[in-house]
Amino acid sequence: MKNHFIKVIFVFFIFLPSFAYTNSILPIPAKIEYDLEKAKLGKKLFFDTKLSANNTISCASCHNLEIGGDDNLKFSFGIHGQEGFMNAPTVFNAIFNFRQFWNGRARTLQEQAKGSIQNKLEMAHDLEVLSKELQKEGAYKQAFEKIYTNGISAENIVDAIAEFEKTLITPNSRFDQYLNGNKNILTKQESRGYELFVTKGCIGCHHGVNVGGNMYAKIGIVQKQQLSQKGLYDLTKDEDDMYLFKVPSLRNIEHTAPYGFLGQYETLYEVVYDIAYKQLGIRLQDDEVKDIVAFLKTLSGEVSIIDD
Amino acid sequence: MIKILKNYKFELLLLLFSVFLLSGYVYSQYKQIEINYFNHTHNQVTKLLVLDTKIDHFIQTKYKLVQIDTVNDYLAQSLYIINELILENQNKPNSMHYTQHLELLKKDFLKKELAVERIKYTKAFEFNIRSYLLDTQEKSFNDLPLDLKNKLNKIKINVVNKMQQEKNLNDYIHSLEFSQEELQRNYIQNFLNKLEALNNSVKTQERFIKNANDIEFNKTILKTKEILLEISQERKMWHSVITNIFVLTTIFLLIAIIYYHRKLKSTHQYLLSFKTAVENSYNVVVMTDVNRNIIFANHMFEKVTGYKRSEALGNNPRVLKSGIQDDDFYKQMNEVLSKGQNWKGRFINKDKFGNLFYEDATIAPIFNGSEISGYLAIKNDVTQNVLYEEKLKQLNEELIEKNEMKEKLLIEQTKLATLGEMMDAVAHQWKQPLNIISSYASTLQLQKQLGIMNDDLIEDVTDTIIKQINHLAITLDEFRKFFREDVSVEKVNIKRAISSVLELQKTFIDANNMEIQLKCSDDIHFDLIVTEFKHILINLINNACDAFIENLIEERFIFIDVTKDEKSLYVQVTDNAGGIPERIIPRIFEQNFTTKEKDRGTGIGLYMCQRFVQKANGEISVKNIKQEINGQMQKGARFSIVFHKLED
Repeated sequence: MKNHFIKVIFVFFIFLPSFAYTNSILPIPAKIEYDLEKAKLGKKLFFDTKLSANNTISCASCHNLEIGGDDNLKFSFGIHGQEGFMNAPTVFNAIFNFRQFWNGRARTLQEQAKGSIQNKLEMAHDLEVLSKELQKEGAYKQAFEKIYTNGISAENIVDAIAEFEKTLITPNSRFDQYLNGNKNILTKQESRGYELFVTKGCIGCHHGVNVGGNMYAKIGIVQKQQLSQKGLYDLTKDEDDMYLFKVPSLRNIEHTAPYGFLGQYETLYEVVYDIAYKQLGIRLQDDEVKDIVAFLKTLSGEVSIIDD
Repeated sequence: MIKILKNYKFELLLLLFSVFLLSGYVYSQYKQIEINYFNHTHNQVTKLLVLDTKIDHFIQTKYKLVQIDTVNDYLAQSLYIINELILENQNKPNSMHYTQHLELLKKDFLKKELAVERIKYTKAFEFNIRSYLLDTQEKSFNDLPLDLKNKLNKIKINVVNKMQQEKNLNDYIHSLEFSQEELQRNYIQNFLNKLEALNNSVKTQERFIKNANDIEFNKTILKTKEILLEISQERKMWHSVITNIFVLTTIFLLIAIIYYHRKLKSTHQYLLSFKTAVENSYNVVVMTDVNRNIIFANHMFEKVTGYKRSEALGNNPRVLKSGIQDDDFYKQMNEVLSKGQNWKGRFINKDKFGNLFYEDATIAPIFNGSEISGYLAIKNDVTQNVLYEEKLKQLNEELIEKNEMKEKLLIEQTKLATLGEMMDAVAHQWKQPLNIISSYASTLQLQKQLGIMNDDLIEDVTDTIIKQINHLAITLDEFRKFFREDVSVEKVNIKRAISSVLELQKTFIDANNMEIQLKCSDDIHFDLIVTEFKHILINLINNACDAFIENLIEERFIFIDVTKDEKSLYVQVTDNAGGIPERIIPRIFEQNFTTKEKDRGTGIGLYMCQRFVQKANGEISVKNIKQEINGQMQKGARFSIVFHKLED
């Protein structure tokens, strides 16, 4: 009787989370509202090396739209070949992130663009100087004045870039198609992977539209870690925020290797296995990892970049 | 300036009224915007409160994955609202207090947001552990011996239960007991690690929740609401004060306008009746502006001048000038008018068809304040009157001529009558000398027959005859003089003139036993027509004589008193003939009035006397008097004649 009761409770609790995560991953909307003129101007800026202090790199240098919206490097290189110390996240679907940067120091895409342009290790440019430089270029001057009443300004430059970044969404991934009702689109392995993703608790942090990117998580909550980067602590200087990093989006994850904020994982297999242990305290089996990786690959969507 | 204000009082009132209405409208629109703004702000704050409640709900309840995006959305919305409030306040600053409070609001929000982020990750971790605890698929777990599996399953259920029911997890986890052998197992170590992590996480979460609650963000929001309400209350008070002022002023202006309108209306009615009167007047009424251009003319104007009003309006009335009156006439008129005085006079004008007409006109300047703003002419067409007057004058002249002839005739008549009477007198006068001459001639003839004629006698007779003839000659001369045609005014010695009459009338006077007493200085002279003066005296003496005879008066006196002062000559002829009956005194000087018998009175004696006196610029009057003569009171009539000196 008691056993039976326990079984009933068990069954109940097994199904309870499945109610909770039924809609916890949301498909990327097919379309997003944006200002086309602004976005076009933003695109021009995005690919323009003038945004860096010595005209050597552009936004696209580190966020290559051809290879998953990042540079596939452990750390990116700024001007004068300076190497960064954190892995560059993809620009794709960045609009759906609740914060930008690993430690979430930027609330908006505009702030992110500002940060990257002015970061000494990255483009190392002064936006005010950049405004004056762009002022000399007729095409930019005209385009800005057409859109913004006050013409070229620091705010307007990053606003245009942010507007272009809004267009960089990757809808229609196979998993999104599954979410939208095409239940047969996933292979058996992928379906198993998704089930494991849920039952093992990955979905606890990786959920929402971006399958992540909507909260912070403490690195090494189960297995204590010593890390070179301190995450949100850098902003708040509060011990409670030590090692709090933005949960990265798993969208297009197969194209954004290496993984981890330090780029320490070369493959998805490595990262899934390691994170499951460090964050969940679970030693996944080989086939479980493979299944989850198979599921993660269904999150790759379609990239469409606006014409000039 | 004040004058302009006075002239356009009504318009100014209207203008003021519309300005007030307009500004009232604008103000209410502005207020509406402000109210909208307040409503909007208030709504936003309320929304913020709702969002905060939802966030609190998330904090207090168990973790669900679907909530994360929603909570992110709540946080983003809240921040958006707060930023919007701050921006609105920057654009349109309210009180310092409010501004400061908004800063606090944002600060509190960011604190709370951070707390929520922490709660999020602890809840996520809790979820993860629960997932793990409920995972029945885990291989390493399934490899454990059955009794240990059962024990762990029990623990797992208890932990999940405690998590679910918020029971004291800490105590439970620390009460767990495992044997050394069991503790050797990796799985158990890992399991306990996780439970410890879970325990820590749950404790941390409780702390974070307490932190989040300690911020009391909802109180800050409510305070914001309060401040907003205070501001709006304050504004509302001002709003109602200003609105009241607007309403009162508008009502006041409206009353003023109604008052003025009524006043204007009654004035209008009044003027309308005037206009009707003017329009229907038989006088020509013309009004001009200050430049003498016609701005109004009534119906009569059209009738008199022949010009239609449409032709006349805007033109100068000088088109009516006939040219008969010289420039001086108009110059004099303009002088009077330019002094602001009324002018009165007669125009000789010409109508449209060239016919002359006469107008008696009164022109009055119309004043607007102290300045002449126009002229009003009221004219009366007197052409007919003028024609009548001329005719009348002609008739009058004819009449006067006739009258003069009549009077001449009368005078002739009078003279003839007097002549008759005089002839009697002359006859009497002459009778005696002729008798004397005749008797002397007879004496001479007898003496010659008797032969007693001597030279002395002849001489004596001749002397006497010559004397008598001289006397006759003098009488004749006087008589002739009396009737001579000379009627010119000359300086007359009054005493001599009276004496002449008495001499002429001597026989008549004596025959009628009358005694005439003359009191007159020798040197009284006066300008008179002597013949007429003598006529008057003769008439009066004759009348007195008739009265003596009629009233059978024995002692007959006539007193003639003459006095003179600088201006006038006074002649009184008084008798004692018993007086004139009082009832006929008023009629005594009338023509054809007589009391005498038909053959004796003509009824023109006293009338002519009056005419003569009046002609000589004098007056004649009569009254009955009583006077003492020889110790007896006697009644009589007194004629008083006053001649006034003619002015040079």
